[in-house]
Formats: sequence, C-alpha cells, structure tokens
Amino acid sequence: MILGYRIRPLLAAALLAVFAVCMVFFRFAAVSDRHRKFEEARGRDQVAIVQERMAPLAALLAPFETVGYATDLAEHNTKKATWVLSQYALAPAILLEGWEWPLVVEDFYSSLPAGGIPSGYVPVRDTGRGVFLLEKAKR
Amino acid sequence: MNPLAWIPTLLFPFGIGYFLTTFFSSLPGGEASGCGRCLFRLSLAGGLGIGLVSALFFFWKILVFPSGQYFFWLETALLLATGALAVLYGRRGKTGDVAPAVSPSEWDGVSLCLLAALLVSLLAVAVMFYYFSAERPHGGWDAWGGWNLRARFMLRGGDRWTEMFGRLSKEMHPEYPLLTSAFIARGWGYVGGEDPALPAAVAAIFTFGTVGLLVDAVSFRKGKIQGVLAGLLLIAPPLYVLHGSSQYADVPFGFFVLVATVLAGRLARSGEDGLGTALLCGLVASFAAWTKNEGILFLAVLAAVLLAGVALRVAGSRFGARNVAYILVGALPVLAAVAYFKLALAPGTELLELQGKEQTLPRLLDLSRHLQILKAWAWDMSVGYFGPAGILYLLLSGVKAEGDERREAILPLSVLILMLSGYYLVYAASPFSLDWLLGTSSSRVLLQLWPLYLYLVFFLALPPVRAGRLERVPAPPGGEAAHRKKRKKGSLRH
Repeated sequence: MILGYRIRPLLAAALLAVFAVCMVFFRFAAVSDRHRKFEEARGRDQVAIVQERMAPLAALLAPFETVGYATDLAEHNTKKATWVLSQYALAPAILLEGWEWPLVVEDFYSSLPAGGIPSGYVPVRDTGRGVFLLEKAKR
Repeated sequence: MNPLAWIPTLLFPFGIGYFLTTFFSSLPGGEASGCGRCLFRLSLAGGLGIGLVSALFFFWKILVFPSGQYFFWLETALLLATGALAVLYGRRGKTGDVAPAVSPSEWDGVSLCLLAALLVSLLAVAVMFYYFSAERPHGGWDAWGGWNLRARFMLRGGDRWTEMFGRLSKEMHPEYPLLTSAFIARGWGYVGGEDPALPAAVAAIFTFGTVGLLVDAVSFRKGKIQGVLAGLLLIAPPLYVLHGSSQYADVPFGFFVLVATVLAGRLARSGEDGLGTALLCGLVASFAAWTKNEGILFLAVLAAVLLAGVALRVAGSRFGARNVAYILVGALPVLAAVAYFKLALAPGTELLELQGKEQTLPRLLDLSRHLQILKAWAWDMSVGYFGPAGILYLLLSGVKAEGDERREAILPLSVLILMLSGYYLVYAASPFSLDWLLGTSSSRVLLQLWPLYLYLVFFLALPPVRAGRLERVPAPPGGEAAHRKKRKKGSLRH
C-alpha cells in the first residue's frame, strides 16, 4: 500500500492544514477589500443612521409608553428592519406597528405623501428629517 | 465614559471565571479531567465569568435593587471570595495524576509549523472580526433587534425594566434568556454609556474562547497536532467569524455546549466520582439554558444521555449516579434563574404556542418540508462550514477509538445526534414559513454544534504518530482509574 499506516494521518493533517489556512486567507482578502471600500465611502451602519433620525423624539416619550409606528417603506424586510431599529433607538418606550395608539411615530423615507399628515392626527414634533411624532386629535 | 471602568467590566468576570475554574480543578476529579490545564482555564474564564455575573445581576435586579445599583460591590466581593478559594485550594489539587492519551511530547517541527499556521490564521480572523465590528458596531439584526435591545431596556428601564417582557412585540423575542443581555446592561452601567464596544468584546471573548477550548479539549486526549488542526478547521469557515462578530448568542451557546459535553464525556470515561468536574459541567450546562432557548433542549438531551448511561451502562459506561447528582447541584443555581425567568417574566414561545394536533401533524408528514430542511442543512454544512472536510479527514487518517476512548466519545456523539434531531423536529413542525426560518437561522443553528462536531472528528481520528515522537501510553492494568488510585496510594513511583 502506497499510503502506509504512518503516512496517511500525516498527509491528512497536512492537507487539512493547507485547506484551512487557504480558506482563512481567501476570506481575509475579500473582507479586507470590502472594508477598504466601506471606509473610502465613509460608510455608516444603519443603526447609527436610524438613531440619529429618532434622537429628537427620544426625550419626548415616557418610559414604557406605547407608541404606534408607521412608515412609507413598502418592502417587507426593510419595513420590519426600520421598525425594529426605531424600537432600539427609542427604548424604553414601546414601539408597535400600527395606528391604534394615541401617539404615533411616522417615519418617511421618501417625500411626504400628497395627503401629508393623516386626518385625525396633529403633529407634536417634526424632526425635519422625515420623522414626525403625531398625536390623535381630540374630538 | 470612564476608561478605567473597563477594568471591572471585563477583567472582574474574567478573574471570577479563572479563580472558579482553578477551584473546581482542585476538587476531586478536576485535575484528572484536564480542568486545571492553563489553556482550558484561560479559555473558559471569560465565558464562565460572564455567565455567572449575568445570572447574579439578574437575581440582584429581581430581588434586591431593580435598578441594579451597588452590584459592583457584590461582584468585587465575589472576585475576592473566588480568588481566596483558588489560592487556598488551587495548589492542593495539583496532584499531577493526569493520564493523557498521548505522551506529553515536546513541540516538534510538525506541531510547531501547525501552531504557527493557527496563530497567523487567528490573527487574520481577529482582523476580520475587527472589520466586521467596525462596519456593524451594533452587530447584526438579532443583536439590535433582540439581545442588545433587551440590554437597553434593562439599563434604561430603571425600576420598571421587567415591563418589557409583557409589552415588547413578540417579533423582538422578549422570551429569550438573558445571559448576554444582562451582562451587557451591567457593563454599560459600569462604563456610564451604551458603548457598542462592550457587546463586541463579549462576542470576541466567546469567539476566541471557543478556539482555545477546542484546541485544549482535543490536545488533552489526542495530542497537540490534532488540537491545533481542530482549531484551524473551526475558524476556517467564513460564517464562524461573521456570526461571531454579529453579537448573536449562537457562538456563546456553542461555547457552553462544547465545555459541558466534553466534561461529561470525561466523567463517563473516568468511572470515578469527579466532584470538581461534575460541578463545573453542571454550571456550564446551565449557562447554555441561560443563553438561548435551545439550551433547554440541550439540558434535556444531556440529562437523558447521562441517565441512560447510568441506567443502561451503554457500551460499558461507568457513569456514576453520584456524578449526575453533582452535575445537578452545579446546574441548580442558574437553573433557578432560568425557571424564574421562564415562569414569572417571559411570555410564551410562539414556536410552541402555535402548535396543535391538527396543524402540526400535517406539517410533520409533508415530505417536501423534510427535503427542504435536508437541502438547506446540506448546503450550510458543506459550503458554510466545510463539514465534509472533517469527514474526509477521518476517512484519510483513519478512525481510532477503543476502550476508554470509545466510552468517552459515545456521550458527545449522542448529544450531537440528539441535538440535531431536536432542531430537525423544530424545523419540521414550525408554524412559520420554512423558507424564512431556514434562511434566517439554519446556518446559526449548525454553528452552535460546529465546535462539538469538530471535537468528535478530531477525537475519533487517528493522530499523526511519528516514530519516537508521539507514542501511545500503554494502558495501565485495570484502566486509568485503578492507575490513579495506585498513584494516590504511592504504590507507583515516577
């Protein structure tokens, strides 16, 4: 037998080591390249962007106050992500999707819709960045 | 933020973990099962300390001060107490009666080359970890949408922090256990701000701690070459560092699963009452349940395997009932935290709540769902984790597990198979869209068992034995246990 009892484990070890090191460094090259582009583009993470958008509202909401959340984003995952990110930014207020609460955060990423603020709501705060805190108008 | 505050934030838990491991290794059975080895203690210390401090902080907030104030003093007292235990008992336990499977050879050319490859690769992985953390300082979706979100509520919620469990949307999983969240909340309180570097540091401790633990666990039984190779293959897949830096709880969970299973396997092999090893095993296993919901499945699996070992003496298992009792004692304190959290605070899990005979049975009988799961797992295991590389390695090098080794391998193998079966069943019965569930969790679920899988591969593989270098130690008459007894009595001289 060409590959003897002693050679086989040693060969297996050598092959595995070469494979593992190559995989690490192929990945390293790709990640380094991506990171360089990220830095050149002065990329920012999405959490920081949403936190900045929501920052003016944080002080207006009481801890554990339930607030509605609505956005003009249509794509399901993006919509969910901005809601969860807004919850992260506004904790410890509770942010739930929908209009069932006296206070609602309306989060516009495109221009304001033609109708503007929905009827029955008055703006409490306009952050100037497309984010409004709306209050249900008292009848 | 006070930079000096990082010392108690990270070094205190590390010290507590290190001292506690030293103490456990000094108890009967601790040293023999390798708990006293330097790399083991250093690698385990961070994770163990984080787990312990996290559970204590939870109790403190529930029972003493809901806002968490004065916890620093309790932690300082714990550090001093564990330090004293380690100093008083640490030296006493150094009996030197470790019986490794291969002789403690010096580093030779091959193993040194492999060690250099591992260290250079680790450096590259550390740089990648830094890049990922710089691009996503708050981690991935589940980090800001779950683990770190709950940490924010624990910190910002003050006395009312427990309200989050009943009021947060279920999509943010308020029912998930609090190991990482409580630790991060406590740390943010210490440093005086929500510095994203803290969850990133916690993620790094577990990501690199797992490497150290795996290298040590394999080296202890199979020699340095096998240990270093296991470490290399652990970090090779791109998903390991990606998920590690995402600040998810899957890597911490895999860390605890690896340690608890390896220690339980060593107890099954020794056939002696191992108080220190069993207590540590129980404590670490309970941290798995304090980390993720899957930890409850892990505890059930571990308990089932241990009890089966005691009852049936499968394949000559010498696992004593007393060891099982010690494991239970070790697990009880943290299990109390898990039980209180699950019964009094956490809302129900949708995955279970949405089950019913009429809905679940058709899902389980749907063949296309099974094919879908197997396809996703095959893809993740091969492309994501290079799992077949381990199998090929086994085929090429050959399998070697006899007698005591086989006894030691049965336990981790059973745990791995049962855990995979449990995950499979959860996917098959899931009320959610299987496409979505597999797409968002399959690779992370497999990551939880990736270190344990590698441990088994390298434990079973025939190590590269070179004439005159690594020689197998001939088994002493009567097995290792009898050998140790003789050494204790002084009838064997070295």
